[in-house]
Parts: sequence; structure tokens; C-alpha cells
Amino acid sequence: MIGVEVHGLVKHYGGAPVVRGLDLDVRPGEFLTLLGPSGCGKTTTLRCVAGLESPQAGEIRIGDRTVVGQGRFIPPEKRDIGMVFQSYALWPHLTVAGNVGYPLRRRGRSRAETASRVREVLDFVDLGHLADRSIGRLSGGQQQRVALARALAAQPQLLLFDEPLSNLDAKLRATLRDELRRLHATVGTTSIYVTHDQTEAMTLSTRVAVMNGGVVEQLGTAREVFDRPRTRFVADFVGIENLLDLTVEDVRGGTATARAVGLSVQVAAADPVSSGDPLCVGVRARAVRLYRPEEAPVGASTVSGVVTDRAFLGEEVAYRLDVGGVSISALVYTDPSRGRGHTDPDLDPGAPVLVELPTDQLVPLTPSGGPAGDRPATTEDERVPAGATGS
Amino acid sequence: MVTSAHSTERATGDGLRRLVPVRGARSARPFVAVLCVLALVLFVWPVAMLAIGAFRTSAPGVPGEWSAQAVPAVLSDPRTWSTLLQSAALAVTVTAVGVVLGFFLAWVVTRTDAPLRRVVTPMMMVVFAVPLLFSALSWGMLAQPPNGTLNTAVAAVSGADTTWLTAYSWFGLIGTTALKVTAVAYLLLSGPVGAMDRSLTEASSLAGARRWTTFWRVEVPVLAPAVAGVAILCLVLGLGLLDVALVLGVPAGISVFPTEIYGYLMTASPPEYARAGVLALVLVVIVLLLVAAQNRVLAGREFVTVTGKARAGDVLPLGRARWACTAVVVGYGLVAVVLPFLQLVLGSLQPVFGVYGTFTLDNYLDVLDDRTVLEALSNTLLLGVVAGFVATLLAALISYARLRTTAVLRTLPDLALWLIIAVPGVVVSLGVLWAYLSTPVLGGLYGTVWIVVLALVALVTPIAARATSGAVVQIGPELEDAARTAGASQARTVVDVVLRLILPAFLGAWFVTGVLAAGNLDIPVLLASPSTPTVPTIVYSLYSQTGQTAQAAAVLCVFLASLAAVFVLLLALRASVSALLRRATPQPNERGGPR
Repeated sequence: MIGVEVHGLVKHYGGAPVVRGLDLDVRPGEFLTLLGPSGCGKTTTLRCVAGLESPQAGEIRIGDRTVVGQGRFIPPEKRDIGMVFQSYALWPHLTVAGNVGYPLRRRGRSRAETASRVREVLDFVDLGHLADRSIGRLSGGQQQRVALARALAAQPQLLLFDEPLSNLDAKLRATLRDELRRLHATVGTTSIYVTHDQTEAMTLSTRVAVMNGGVVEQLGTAREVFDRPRTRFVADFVGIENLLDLTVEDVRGGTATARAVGLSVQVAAADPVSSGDPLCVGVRARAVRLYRPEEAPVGASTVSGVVTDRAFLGEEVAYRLDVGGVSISALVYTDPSRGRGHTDPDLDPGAPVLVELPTDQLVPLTPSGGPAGDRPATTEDERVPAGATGS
Repeated sequence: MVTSAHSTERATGDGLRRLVPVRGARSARPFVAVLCVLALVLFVWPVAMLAIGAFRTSAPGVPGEWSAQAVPAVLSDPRTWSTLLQSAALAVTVTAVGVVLGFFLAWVVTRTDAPLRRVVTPMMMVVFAVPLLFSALSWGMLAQPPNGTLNTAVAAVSGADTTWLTAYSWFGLIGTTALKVTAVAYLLLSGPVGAMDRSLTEASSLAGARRWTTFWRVEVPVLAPAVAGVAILCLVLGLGLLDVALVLGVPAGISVFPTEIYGYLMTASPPEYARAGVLALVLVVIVLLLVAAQNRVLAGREFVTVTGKARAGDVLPLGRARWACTAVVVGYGLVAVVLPFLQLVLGSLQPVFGVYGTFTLDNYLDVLDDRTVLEALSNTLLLGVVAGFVATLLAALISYARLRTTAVLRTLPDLALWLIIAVPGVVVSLGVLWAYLSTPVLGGLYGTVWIVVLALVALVTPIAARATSGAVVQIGPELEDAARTAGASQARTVVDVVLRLILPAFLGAWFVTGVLAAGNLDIPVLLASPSTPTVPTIVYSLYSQTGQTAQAAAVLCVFLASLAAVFVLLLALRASVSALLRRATPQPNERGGPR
């Protein structure tokens, strides 16, 4: 089992850099996902690791071998990798077996050895009966399984996935996602996976690297990234609905009181913040608790607001609230067994409401740059402020 | 590919990290460098030497002096200007006829329900593939007072005087050339016309326009850029054609640029290389201006692209007008294919040209017994196969370099093709003569068949490149990426994936360029020595120089029959190659699965 190290990777195509000084450390046997919106440089990073692009600067090590850097560039065919592409990239002039056997033949295996390994790996992806089929006569899901089999065939030391599921419909995507999980559990090859789909990232990954503007903005387990995003960008990307721009009023023993117009919250602030500092706080709509004014809970600090919109979603009800001039989304359940604050208070727009933002659910966020280009280019080390650890 | 230290520094902010070398994943620099050298030697050098040759006092390969005297001599010669006028008149009229007819037929085939429309494309391919010498000869035999076939027929029916009915005239020259140009225009225009968005015409119909109004007001203007591009290409073609002008024009006292250059080199004694060079340069400049105009008109578009989606099966019911359209198709077929073929066969069976009633195979026995003719046939086969193959391979690699590598010079070979496409065959011959004879190594090729091969490669590579670049574009880059990550080197990827996937287009381009090379008269007539005859040179000398019309017809018949045989062989080869390749791929030992 080998790891992958990337240091100071820079790639630009003539103009603006796509990857700007990226550092990444993939542990042996890990399934690491590069997650980010389109244009964040995730695919470019993956292609640099594969050797399909040559970066302008930086170093890439696969295992103990430097494949880029120190004046060297190892071409893709000598990197011992398997790669799965978004468009499957199966060769239409070869059969299923021909496609899967190709990497083995290129690695000098004998015909007999190739044939037996092809059968083995096709059985693994449940396509043993289609070995002689031509590619054009396969469905999209079958094609991607062939592509997977081809990547696995030569038992490479590193597997790379470039949005392999995004051409499939939702149902197939879920099936193949489970297959990929099973695959990693069985084979255990170090893998790097690129996607813009949160669910894929969460279900598949050992760790997730959220990318933005050509650098890694946060690297952690799926749980960490999802529950404790570090920056405003990551919070937004993992779907935290409420991002509140507040001003620190008071700091007392690691707890900051921050407010915006009529809203005041208590946040556990590890940062050395002082009063007057801006502070962004994220909270999921599901974490927001709602009460009818006459049912005020005992011992919980609430603020009053007004319902501005209410949408029935089936099991859930989405509220839009105005709390002292700040707009907040909340998601509560129609099922009363969910507990106080999480049950639909059944209020119409215009009705007053009590809102509780539980302190332990509030995530302090550092501001981060938007898309590449609107902030000065810096290295990652300079960019992540000290102590902004939410986890 | 090349990164400057400056940009890297800006990107990393904290100064230079480890810089990787510029050689990268897809630069393939040695490969592109070799291609550049080949392109310069084959395509650019002859044109450059042409310019130099115009200012030398001596023949190619012979020591001489620099002199500009040929320039005023040519430019002050009234003959030059009358030639220019006649060349322009020929090019413009054949373009007008060819483009109008070609466009009309393309529209009939792709947009209407006229009967017989499906035979048009194969017919046009035949007209395109068959050498121009064929129609020149056939029409020369059909309309030739007093005893051409048509003259005899007309006289027998009506007893009228038929001296007016002659192919050796402006009418014959323009007519035969226009038939060929029509085929070229049709083949280039049927793509854009067929791809035009049908909703445009539907919208016009819904707006209340009648179908002919729609044709003139919508379809013609939308396609105007594509049509203009094709028209300019046809002008270039019309300016550079030698064969018809030599066979039909010269006896009628018509001289155009190519025949004039031919005259300076072949009939003037001693040959006037400098004058020929000046004339050739004037022609090249005119043609380059036209090509530049074409690029401007098309503004970087390939001229098969008309935006919009095509839907199959949308045809315009023409009503009774469809029979008029069919009449045009049948008329063209008669004049361009049927009559010339019949005439050629008839002519080859006549004991003496113009003697009707008796048929003989003596002409075939004669020519097949003649060692020169057999040699010409084998030379021509070699020219077609080798020049076609080399040109297509070169074109494929040039297209690949331009589209799929990142080397700095990747577009240079392709640009060289744009230069050579502007150069007519006679001029290529002259340039190759100047270029190769100036070096000892390549000069040694003079008099062999190989100098003809190289000149033909220069002439037909741009045509092959059209087919190959279209085919390379079709191959998704990720198919190559997949091969690289599967462990194949770049060279291996080109062979296993790129060449394999463009194989159908490759074979097609090989055939087309092979046929064009084999049927070409311009190059061998100037470059081949008497000891390396080719079919076109033999036919030309039999027909126009020694008056052995029947034998010339017999040789052409044998040649066309061999072309047809090669075509069938190629189809068989194509089928078996893909079958073989399928079998050669790794398979599991036992083919277990149900299909």
C-alpha cells in the first residue's frame, strides 16, 4: 500500500492558474475525495497525479517515487495507476474483454495470464457473461463497470476516479456508489476520487478534501467536513443553509456573544477574537428549533421573529423567518415524536415565532475567498488562519 | 508548454518551488519536430525555390547568375495578359456553373423528394475520382468535326452541318471542366446544406412563404458563407487545371496559365525556366489571395459547419417540380458519366477513330502487348498506392500533431499544408524541380519514379488532411488518456487507439488521394522521364501527340478497370482488416458467456 504526496502544485493553461500551490497528503490505503464546484481545480489536480497534465511547479510523489519534480516527469504509462473516466472512455473497437485486458497486455502479461485475470475481474463486477460483447451494445451502467474493471485489471498501486458516476441516472449512481464502497473494502487500493457530489464524497471517502480556487480549503473525515466546516465556502458547499454575518460584542471565557441587528447568539469561539470583529456563523436549518410564542421552553434562550414563508415538503416543513432583520431558514418535522422545537409549530406567514439557535450547533466560520481570481494568490499555509479549527 | 519563471513566481506567491521541466505529458516534441522537417522539405521548400528560380538565369541544378530580367520580360509580354484574362474567364465561368449546379443538386438530394436523388452522391464520387483526362478525351471524341460520334449522329439524323459541334473550343473546355467542378462543389456543399437547421425553413413556411421563396430568401442566404468558401476553392481549382486545357484548349488556340507554364518548360527550346517561374509566381500570388479571402469569408469555420440540428426524414414535397429536378440529375449523369463512358468504350473498339460499324479488340491487344504501356500501368499503380499512402499517413500525423499535442510548433505542418493547397500541379512540379535538383542527394531522384511520388505527395496531402483531421477530432481525448493510464506509451497510443479508430477514414482518404495521384497528368508530364511513363502521360501522348486515339481510349479503359478492381479490393481489405483486428485482441480462453 502506498501513499501520495503533492506539494506546491501549480498548473495554469496560459492565463490564470487553475491549481495554485496545492498541498495534499493521501495516506496509504485511503479513499480520498477531492470535492468542489466546477473550476476549482480538482480534475486538473487528479490529471497531474495521473501524468496526463504536466504542472508548471510542484512535486508529486507516489509511494517513494517522485513522479513530478526534481527535474523529472514520469509519463502516465510508467506510474502504475488505474483510472476511471467520467465518459467511461472505453475503446469502441475492442470487446469488453479486449478493453479490460489492455492494461495487462501493456504490462507484458502473457495471453493466458491476461485471459484468466480478465475473467476474474469481470466476474468481480458481475459482467463475466458479457466478455465478448462489443462496447456499443452495453448500457451506461455496464459501460462504467467495464471501465472500473479495466482500471482494476492490472492491480495498480493507485486508483484514480474522475467523476465516474456523473453520467449515470440517480438510481444507477446509487448502485454503483455501493459497488465502489464494496470495491474499496475488498481491494483496499489507495484511491483518489474527484466529484462535485456531496453524497458521493460522504458515502465513499475515508477523508474529503474540499477544494476552492485551486487549493484545498479543508481536509478531514466526511463527518468533520460535514459537521464542522471551517470556512464560509466549505459550509456553503456542504449545504449549511444559514450563514449569519455577525459582529462580536463580547468575549468571555471562550464564549463570544455576537449579534446582527436584532439577533444575538452565543458561540464557542476558539479564535482569539475581540469585540468589534466580524464573525460568520453557520447553522443548519434542521438544527434551528421553533416554538409557538405561548409555548416558550424553559431554560432555553430564544429570540423572537416572524414567519415570512412556510412550505410543506411531506415529512418536513420548511420555514423562512425574519429574526431582527436577519433571514433564517428552518426545517421541522410534521411527526410530533421528533421532540420539542423540532415539531412543526403550524404557524402561517406573519405569525410571531420563538427561535432557538442551540449554541452547540453553531459553527464559527472564517471568511474564505470566493472563486479564484478575486483575492491575491497565496500558498495554502498562509491562507488557513491559525486556530480556526472547529473540530 | 513553456512557462516563464515570471508567471510561476506570480502563481506561487512565495517564490519558485521545484520547477518541473517543460517536457510534459503530451508535448511529443521529437515527433512534432520530425513532422515539421518533413513538411518544410515537402511543402515549403519547393514553393520557396520557385521564387528563387524565377530570378536565376540557368536551369535547375546548373550554375547560373542572379537576374531579374525575366520579370519585365514576362510582364511586358502582351501574351501574359491575354493568358491572365483567359484563365480568369475560364475559372470564373466554371465556378459559376459548377457552384450553382452543385448547390442545386445538393439541395435536391438533401432537402427534396425528387426521384433518383439517391444516385447523385455515388455518381459525383465517380466523377470526382475519375481523372479529368478521361472527360477531356471522351468529349474530344464525342464532339469533333467531322467524324466525332455526336457529329456523325447529328449529321446522320438531320444532314445538318456539324462543324460548330466541337469540344475543341471555349464551350468544350468550360463544359468539361465545369462537370468536374460541379462534383467538387456538390461533395463540399451537401454537408452544410443537409446540416442546415430545418426549423429555419419551417418558420419561413409558417410565415406564409411559398417553397421557392423559402429557397431563395432563407436557404440561400443562410448558406452564403459556406457557398462563398466553396466558390473560392473552385476558382483555385479552375485556375490550376492543366489536363483539359492541354487536350481541348491548346488545339483551339486557348492558353491559360498552366498551359503557358507547360509551354515555357516543354515546348520552348531551350526551356525558359525563369519565365515559367515568374508566371508560376503570379499564379501562386493570385491563388494565395483567393485562399486568404476564403479564410476571411469563413472566419475560421470549417465549411461543413452550419449551426443547427439536422433531422433525418424532413423532405420538401416538390409536387410536379420534382420531375424537373430529376431531369437535371439525369442530364448531368448523361453528360458527365454515361456518354463519356460509352464513348470511351466505343472509341477503344473502333479500328480507327471515326470508323463505325466494325469493332475490334486489336487496340487492347496492341496496348497490352506494349511494354511501355504495361510499365506505365505498374508505375501508375505504384504512384497511386505509395503516394496515396504516404500522403494519408502524413496527413493523419499532421492532424494528430495539431489537434492532440501541446508542442509549440504543432501547427506548423498544418500551415505548410495551407501553403501547398494554393499551388497548382504544374507549379508544384516546377518547384520540386528547382528544389530537388539543387541538392546532390534528392537531385539523384530526378528521372526516377520517386521524384514523381514526392511531388504527388505534396499535391494530395492537403486533400487527405481534410479527411484525417475530421476523423481525429471525432476521437475523444479521454480514449487516449485511458490508454496512457493503462500503460501505453504515446506512440503506442497513437497506433492502438488513434490510427485504429480513424482506419475507415484513413482507407477512404488513401483511396481518394491514390486515385487523384494515379490520374494526375500535371506532375508526371513535367517530372517523369521517358523511361518512367505513367498512364496519364501515355494517354496524353497517344491522343494529343501521335493521334492514336483508339489506343489512348483502350489504355484509359484498362486503367479505369484497374481502378475499379482496386476499389473492390480495398473494400475487401477494409472488411478483413477490421475482422483481423477484432480477432487479435485479447480474449478469455473460453468464450463462455451467452451472447
